[in-house]
Amino acid sequence: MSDIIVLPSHALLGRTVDFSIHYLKEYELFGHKLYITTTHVSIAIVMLIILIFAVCANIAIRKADPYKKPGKFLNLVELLVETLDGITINGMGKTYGYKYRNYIGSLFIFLFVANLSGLLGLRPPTADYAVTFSLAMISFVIIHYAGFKYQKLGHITDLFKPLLLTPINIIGEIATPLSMSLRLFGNILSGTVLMSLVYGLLPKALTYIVPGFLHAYLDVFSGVIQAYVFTMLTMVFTAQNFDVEE
Amino acid sequence: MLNYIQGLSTFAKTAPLLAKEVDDTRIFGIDPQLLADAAIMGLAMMVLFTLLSFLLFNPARELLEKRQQKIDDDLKSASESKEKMEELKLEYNEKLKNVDKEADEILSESRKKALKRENQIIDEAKAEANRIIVQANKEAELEKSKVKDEVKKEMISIASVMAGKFVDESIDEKRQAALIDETLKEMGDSTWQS
Repeated sequence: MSDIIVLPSHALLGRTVDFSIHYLKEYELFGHKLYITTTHVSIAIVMLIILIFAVCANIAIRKADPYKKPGKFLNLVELLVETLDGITINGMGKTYGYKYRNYIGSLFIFLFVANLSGLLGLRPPTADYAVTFSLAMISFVIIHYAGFKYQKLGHITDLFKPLLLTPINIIGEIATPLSMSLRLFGNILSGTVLMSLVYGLLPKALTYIVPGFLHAYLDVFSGVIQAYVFTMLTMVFTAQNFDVEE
Repeated sequence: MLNYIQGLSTFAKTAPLLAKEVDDTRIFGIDPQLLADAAIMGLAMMVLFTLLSFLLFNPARELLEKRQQKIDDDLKSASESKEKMEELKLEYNEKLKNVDKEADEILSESRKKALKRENQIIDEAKAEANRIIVQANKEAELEKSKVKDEVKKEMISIASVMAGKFVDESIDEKRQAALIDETLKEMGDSTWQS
């Protein structure tokens, strides 16, 4: 299965359109032939960017005197943390929301940078189903951990109410991570495919002008929206299982 | 248009052929690679979560809380001092209102005191004057009685002198009259007038 499409010569000068994940290095695990891929490199770069920011923020915070006016960078850090906390508390309520602040914040920052990494010329990590699937599975675990913690056995018995709809309820629960992961994957992959098609098919000169608008929509707008949607859905599904209504 | 369709059909024919040539790429597949990648991503996410919590979220929140605490304290102390100020202001106003009254009181009191003192002084002066007068009267009285005594004594002595002279020279009436005059002259006018 190949995702490098070499267009027929008369269609567009035989230029290649590449939007696939490349295998970089082979390794073996439990008898399977597996590969280190470009996705891993992208993940590493995205994490590096985030961690450099975090380390700078940490240094700024350590240096800062809480009783004095904060500097510009510190202000930015505070704004970021407060906004993410605000989103979490708004989405999950005051009672338990604060417990999830760090994970929701980390998730949003990762998805945000990952989805925007197309702007840096990377293949966005979120355009690999493994990444979105993994994040959706973490969300799935968080959702059902909260379910068992706050609803106790009711979390299971609710599946059989009403009895006739039991299969649909079960499918609904399983569909949650699938829909979340596929939505994010599809959105970002479509953006990646479209961008590589545009870069591959347009005459070279035009690629300096046209993709700007498309990047604005496909990478920035769509990417940020999808990052928000993914975190929002994680929050909503988790908060559904809380034993308090807010 | 025809060219375009031809192009598409050529593409459809060639694409699968090209696909076989390169197979070190992928887009989507449900295979061990997906699970391995998912596991790596899960691990990465956990690492990211831990590091971000440790480096970014918790310290930033701590800083914000400290600042919040400081602002709360400042506001509290500010409102406290404001309350205190209001209290003091009320007290001062009350005092200011009473100041006129107090001043009047003090003035009238001092006036009263002054009047009292004046009266006292006058009384004392009067008493002193009376005392002096009484004393003077007494002294005058004493002097008078002293003078009387002296006059008496003088008269006695004069009488005795005159009697002596009468006896010495039992003389005629002319002589007697001359003697009396002489005696009187000797005594002087002042004896009688004091």
